[in-house]
Amino acid sequence: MTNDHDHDHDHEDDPRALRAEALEAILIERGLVDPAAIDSTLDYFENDLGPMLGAQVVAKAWADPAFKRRLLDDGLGAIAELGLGGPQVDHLVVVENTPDVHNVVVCTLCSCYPWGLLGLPPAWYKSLAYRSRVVREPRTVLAEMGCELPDDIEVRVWDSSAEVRYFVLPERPSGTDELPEDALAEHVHRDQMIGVAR
Amino acid sequence: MTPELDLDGPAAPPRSNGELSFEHPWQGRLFATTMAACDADLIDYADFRDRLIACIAERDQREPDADDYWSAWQDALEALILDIGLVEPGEIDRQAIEFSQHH
Repeated sequence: MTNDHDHDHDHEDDPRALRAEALEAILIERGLVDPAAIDSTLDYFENDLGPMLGAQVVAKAWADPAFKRRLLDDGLGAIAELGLGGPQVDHLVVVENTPDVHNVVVCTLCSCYPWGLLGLPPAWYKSLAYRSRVVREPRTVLAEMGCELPDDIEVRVWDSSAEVRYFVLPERPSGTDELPEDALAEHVHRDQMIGVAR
Repeated sequence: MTPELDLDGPAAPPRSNGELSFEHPWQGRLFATTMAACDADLIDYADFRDRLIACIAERDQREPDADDYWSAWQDALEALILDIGLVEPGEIDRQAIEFSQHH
């Protein structure tokens, strides 16, 4: 991305693209936003934020019981120890999967998501189908997404509110006792941290 | 970004870990403009989110299968920016038309 006026003219016929460009240009021309800030924000979200950060947090929680306790007690405080945080989050609640409990996260009203740990949400997370159905029939939705849960596992659905973002701490896979933290992170995937995978 | 990067595993960069963040570049620019406006204290994120919820609800009702999340985002941002007086009514339209004529 560049700061000049030729950054993304892939959309000459798309009124939405023209409007977005127009609004950006107006705010920049008035000196209200710095074009460099827009570029750096985009770069940050596209290239620096992503599920690999959440995977680091999970791996540390698996490897370090004291960190795990702090993470469950005070999510934002614990991830700040790792230099992580993310914009527009006042509270991060970390919910732990156990052999008896499976957690799944949704934002029924829009698309609130722990950006600082997972980057931007996938398209399905923003869809009406997921937002409305996972609350009503979580087991069915999870099964459709490839996550079949036995009946004896309790499913808890967490609905993000204005300031609270939820993050699922998956169970540590068996056979990983000897692995160091960085290798553990390789076992963590985005969908587990949203709760649509076990 | 180099070819040596793990492009599929959990350590992969965000753009390949899962799916592309934005389907079209304008969506990324819009998102980043919103965040920059929040950071510059031009708008309050909570206010923006309230607008976004309203725009998404309206779209959910009108077009339940529509896959135009970023259009709702755009409508919310434009409405908020207009309401707090950062742009005049019609100003975005005029600028967009001007850009369309120059492209």
